[in-house]
Amino acid sequence: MQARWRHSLGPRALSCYAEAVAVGAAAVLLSEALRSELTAGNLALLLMLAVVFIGYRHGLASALVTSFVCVSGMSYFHAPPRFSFRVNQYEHLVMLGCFVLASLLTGGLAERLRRQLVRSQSLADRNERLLEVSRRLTGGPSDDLLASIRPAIGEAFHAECALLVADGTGALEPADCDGPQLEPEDAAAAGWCFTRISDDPNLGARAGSWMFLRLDGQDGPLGVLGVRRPIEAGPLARDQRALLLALRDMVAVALDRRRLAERIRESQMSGEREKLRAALLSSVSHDLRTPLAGITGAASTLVGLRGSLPETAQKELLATILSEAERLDRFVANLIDMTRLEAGGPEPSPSWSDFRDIVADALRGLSRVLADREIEIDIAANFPLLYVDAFLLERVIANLLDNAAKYSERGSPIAISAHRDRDTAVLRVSDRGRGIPHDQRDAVFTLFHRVRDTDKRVAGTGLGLAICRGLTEALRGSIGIRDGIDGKGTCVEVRLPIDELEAEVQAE
Amino acid sequence: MSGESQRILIVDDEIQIRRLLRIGLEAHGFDVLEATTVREGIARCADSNPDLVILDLGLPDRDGRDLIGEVRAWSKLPILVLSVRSSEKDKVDALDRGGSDYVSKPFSMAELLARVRALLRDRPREDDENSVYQVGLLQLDVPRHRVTLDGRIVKLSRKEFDLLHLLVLHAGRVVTHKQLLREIWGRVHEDDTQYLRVYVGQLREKLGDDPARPRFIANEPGVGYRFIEPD
Repeated sequence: MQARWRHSLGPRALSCYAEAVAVGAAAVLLSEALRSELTAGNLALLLMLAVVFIGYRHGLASALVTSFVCVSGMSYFHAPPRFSFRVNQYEHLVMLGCFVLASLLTGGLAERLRRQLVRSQSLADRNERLLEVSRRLTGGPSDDLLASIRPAIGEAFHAECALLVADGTGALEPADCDGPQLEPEDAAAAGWCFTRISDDPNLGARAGSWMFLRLDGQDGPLGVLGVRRPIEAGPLARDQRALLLALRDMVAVALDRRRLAERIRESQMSGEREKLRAALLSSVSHDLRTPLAGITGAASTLVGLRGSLPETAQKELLATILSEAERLDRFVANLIDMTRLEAGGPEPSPSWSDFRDIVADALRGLSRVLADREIEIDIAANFPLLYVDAFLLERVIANLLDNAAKYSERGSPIAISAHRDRDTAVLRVSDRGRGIPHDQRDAVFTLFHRVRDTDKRVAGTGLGLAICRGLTEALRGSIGIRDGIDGKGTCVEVRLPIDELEAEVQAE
Repeated sequence: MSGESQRILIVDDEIQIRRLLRIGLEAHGFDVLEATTVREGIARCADSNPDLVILDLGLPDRDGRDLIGEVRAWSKLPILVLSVRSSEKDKVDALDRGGSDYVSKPFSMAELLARVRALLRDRPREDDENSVYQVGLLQLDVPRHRVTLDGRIVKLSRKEFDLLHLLVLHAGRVVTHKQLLREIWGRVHEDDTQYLRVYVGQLREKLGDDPARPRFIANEPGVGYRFIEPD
């Protein structure tokens, strides 16, 4: 009834009543004007036409107003005594009664027709919303979708909507952070709805308080959908309930789908992690054990055969111990770098650095590895100071030099160059080794990758280039493979942004 | 000095490192004392009067840097810091608190002995206006404000000369960025390492020094510079 009352008091309704009075009055005046031409029955039909017209246009209440105006006019003008509201003829009285009854019927009928029209319109409207929601639910990545579904449902019901999703432990969490804040007792009601054995939607909940619907997935409940309509909205109509239940099922399907996708992703990720762990383990055990075996072997030989070994052999064994220990140290440094990269990357602490110093530092650490190499250093005279974390860049260059030594013939030269390409520093380490086939030039930067189809296994960790890429990216740069010296061998190119030094320092 | 050998105190909790240092140092004629904690180290400094301390920063009872602070309150005895490579901040901090030089682990005995010798040499006379320093082929004439390399004069600007002077004064020892900047550019600029990079670059160029394989001025990454003493 609320809706009707609102309707009968609004400003739009007042204009309807005004029209009803006006049309009734016009019909009465017209019938008075045609009084001499028409019979009393025809005049009555004319008035009836006015009532039906208003009833059709504005419904029952307005039709009653019109018929009241018409009956009053008729008893005043037509029913003797004329020009008085008194009605004293029995026949006329009956006619008037029939007239009011008939106008009531037609007006009511017209109103029902109109209401049906309105309802079918709202039904179509809801179907459209349902369609809209289902369209959103079936397309797009599921996270966006769940964020957009809540407002969509709220809009469809002119209501607040809350979407709570159970996390791993079964606790209900809002699916998006913009959702309404639930009072503790409402949250408790949602929790109760979630844990109930059978889902019994409390669709009849009072307007103004939350009604909760459980979202059931294939393996049990996934969450709760809450809807709170404003107090003046009244109870849910039948078709609205059906719509709400249909929407609930759709959201449940979407949630189920998201959960399945997550599960698949998780199992894929744990598979990847497992693979990585296995690769790490094999790499670590190989790369730790090889130098350790060298050291232990050499040291135990020296201990056992101290007296009987010729001096050159002793020196050789001592050199082995030293170089293998250094190799172990480099490997441990790489492991530490990799761990830092895995943990989100090192935080670079940049300062103005001379690339020549960085090269010197890298060469110093590798002096034994590079002892039999000719190192060609070509750093452009105008090469600027770099604003970088010198330690990270030194780790990159040292790894590249170590790789160059590992993958090229002993005694062959290794080149380091640096030049400026507009606002980019281009740093290169090149060798004359076998080179890297084009189709593997990207893959070499992935963890534990070693260039395949090599007959002799070169001692390497598979960490070096992956670390170089990680560190270079931490330095805001990029890294890639090019052809090496004279088109032979490998050249690794590191590109870093150049920051301009203030002019005052450059001067003087 | 030949009659009595110099005494070196090793403060390190790892027995392998102590053993290694003892063997190396005794082979070169030093007397070796050992301590395993900061507390014990401070006590040995006070009662045994060593000529030099080799100090590991990671000690069980307290931070090794605490020893530097306490010993510096009453003694100028040289302290050589042992530290792992990756902790530049700790190194710089130890040097700021009064550490004399550092060696990164893992180190070679030759490197360590070179540091020890440089520290045990007579300390530079404070601000000697009349000295003429000769390091290898390089001669630095302070009163005449002149530098010659293998007999040829090298023209240096005032700041370049001051920089070289400071480095040569501490030849064989590290001089931190902060020390250099404070002495030459003033306290305001003690964090502006770009000045140093530019001037060291110019200085090396004038001395014909290849920065990638330095003969004179070596970079100590993250810490400072060291003037290389010829062997």
